[in-house]
Amino acid sequence: MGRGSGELYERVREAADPRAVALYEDALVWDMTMPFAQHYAEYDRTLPRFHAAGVDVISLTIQNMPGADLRTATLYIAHVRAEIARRADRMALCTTMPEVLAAKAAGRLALLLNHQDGSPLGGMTEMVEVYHALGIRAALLAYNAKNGLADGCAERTDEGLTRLGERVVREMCRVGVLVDGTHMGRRSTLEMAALCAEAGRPFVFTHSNAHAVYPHYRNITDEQIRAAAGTGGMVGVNGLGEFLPDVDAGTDAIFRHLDHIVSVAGPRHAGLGLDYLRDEVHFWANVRATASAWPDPPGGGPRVDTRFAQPEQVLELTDRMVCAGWPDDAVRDVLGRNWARVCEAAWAPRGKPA
Amino acid sequence: MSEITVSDAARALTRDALVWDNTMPWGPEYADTDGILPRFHANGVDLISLTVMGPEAGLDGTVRQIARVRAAITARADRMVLCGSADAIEAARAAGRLGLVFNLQETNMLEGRLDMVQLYYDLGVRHMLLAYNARNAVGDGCAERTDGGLSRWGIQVIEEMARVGMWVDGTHTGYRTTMEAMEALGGRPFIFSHCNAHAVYPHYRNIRDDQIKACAASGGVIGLNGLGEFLDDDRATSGSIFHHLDHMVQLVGPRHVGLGLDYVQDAPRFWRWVADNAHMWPAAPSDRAGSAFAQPEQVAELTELMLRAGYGEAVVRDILGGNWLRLARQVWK
Repeated sequence: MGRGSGELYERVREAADPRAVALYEDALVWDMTMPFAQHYAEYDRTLPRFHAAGVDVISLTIQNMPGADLRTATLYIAHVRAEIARRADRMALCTTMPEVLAAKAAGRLALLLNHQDGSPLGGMTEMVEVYHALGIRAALLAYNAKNGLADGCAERTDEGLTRLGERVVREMCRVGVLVDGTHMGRRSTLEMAALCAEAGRPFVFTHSNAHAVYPHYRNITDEQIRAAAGTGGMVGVNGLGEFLPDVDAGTDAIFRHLDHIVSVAGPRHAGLGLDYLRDEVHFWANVRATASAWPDPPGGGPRVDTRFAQPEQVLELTDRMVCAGWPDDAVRDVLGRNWARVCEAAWAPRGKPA
Repeated sequence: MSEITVSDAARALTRDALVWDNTMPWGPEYADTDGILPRFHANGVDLISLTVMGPEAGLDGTVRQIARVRAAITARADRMVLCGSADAIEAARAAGRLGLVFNLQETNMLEGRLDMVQLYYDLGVRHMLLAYNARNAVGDGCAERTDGGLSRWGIQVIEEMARVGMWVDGTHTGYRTTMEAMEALGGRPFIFSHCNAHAVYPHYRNIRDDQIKACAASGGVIGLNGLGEFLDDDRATSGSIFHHLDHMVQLVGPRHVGLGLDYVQDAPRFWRWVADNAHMWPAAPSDRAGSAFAQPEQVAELTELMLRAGYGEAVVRDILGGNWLRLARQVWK
């Protein structure tokens, strides 16, 4: 599928089952991950394209690649907030569920902010509340590699959380930042799920596929899927070709993972985390440049530069769900209602620090 | 202190009025949440503006200190609360909680990015001074060798502060830079959060009558400072502070004067820092190194001195805090 705007969506719409179209256009559609580092950020084509393709809510990863320090991350948040504020007629930075729903009702794209690494904390648990005040509503702690908080999913080792990592997870639960296990080591994620359960907060994987479907180190096992679901959390299905695997990132390949997650955890524990980024060439160059965090996929190298799922495929995915006989409620849950429910539970304010 | 007998009327008025101290150094070296804040609160102070960073750190250190101070306040939510608006300040007072806001004593922590003004505002910063004694990218400090005006960047910073709703503060800033800042604001309010009168004592940290007049003409407010060195009084007595206060009131009227006491608990640490930063702290007209800081108990003494001088009750209330509150309502967004 090429680049475009409403025209692309119209083509997909014509090919889809009318029941799927009707359901899709009425549903809340929520994409829990879009890399939005400086190089990928694009406010006037990418975001409107998602909006035109029916996506109502997008969570932007606003940190310039893993390892970004406190200063760099803060400067970038200031920049992104200003860029969004300048487009207040079309998009809104949201930090609560009423704000998300109000943005949708007003025809504005609802934007959330997330971090994909614990590095912006600069080793300070108090920074969790500062980033929360600045709009961060979801975060993972270690991106593929090991850091001072946890192990990443591509590490040589699979150790659990550090002492500081445990404190950060507890603080996220207290403050109301959704705890995300994507990109993280298996043991760290299971420990995070246990800490979240203890705190009465949901634990999620915002953008991860099923290891049982394809054993890539970035995909998660059924045990991890169940651990998230057990906290009232969920898993967002990812549209990056390498993790599917499908060089074209086709909708059928994505559906296989979605269907597996739903078969393991039920339709109340699956959603979307497409991971779309507009410059694939840059992404793959970056992957090669950071080989220690991106070892070869199963079967070894050389790595194939795959595509990323495009926003118009969300309607195709809806079509697959409808044609597979999923009940309307299940389809609506997966498209957005699950994220709404889970985020509301994760964001509800709590009291003072312990 | 304590040479002035405070009448019951002055004590009652201090308790009953909204008392606002617009400057308290609160960097990592000075912040002592349980040692200092309850004492101010017990002496009738309802709102304190904490300087969460001065010239000693950039963005990283500033955001880290903001994180620590926010956490310290949240942990004491039954006693104190970070306020973002005049309404929040009045609500805190009504609930018997100490209200707090943040300020910055420098612009270096913007690190050249205008967007950082809004970010600091969103984290609780309600005023920022342009240059601390020495020159920076915005302009000259008040102790600098030169007295140039605002830079192009400085004009942008001021415009962004006005857009965001953050008070533009001329304390520690060079004379010409403050005058040009007020010109750039074109009638929008400008403050001096913690400055005394140069006409009373010609220290480079004190401000001249035309600065005071221009500030008042903008609708702004000047906070009286309680540091002995700027009062030319080692003991920082209330009488010395009142001289500066009364000079300003006579010059521009009582609607443009408030408090910005600049209290530091660990005075020896402050004086060591001054000695270690001689480029920012050249010699003063008289050597008052090691002098005292006004204590919170002196707020009631100041009330007493104002009443004795014939200031009306409404005027005293304005000076104790009403003027800052009015300006918050006018400027903060």
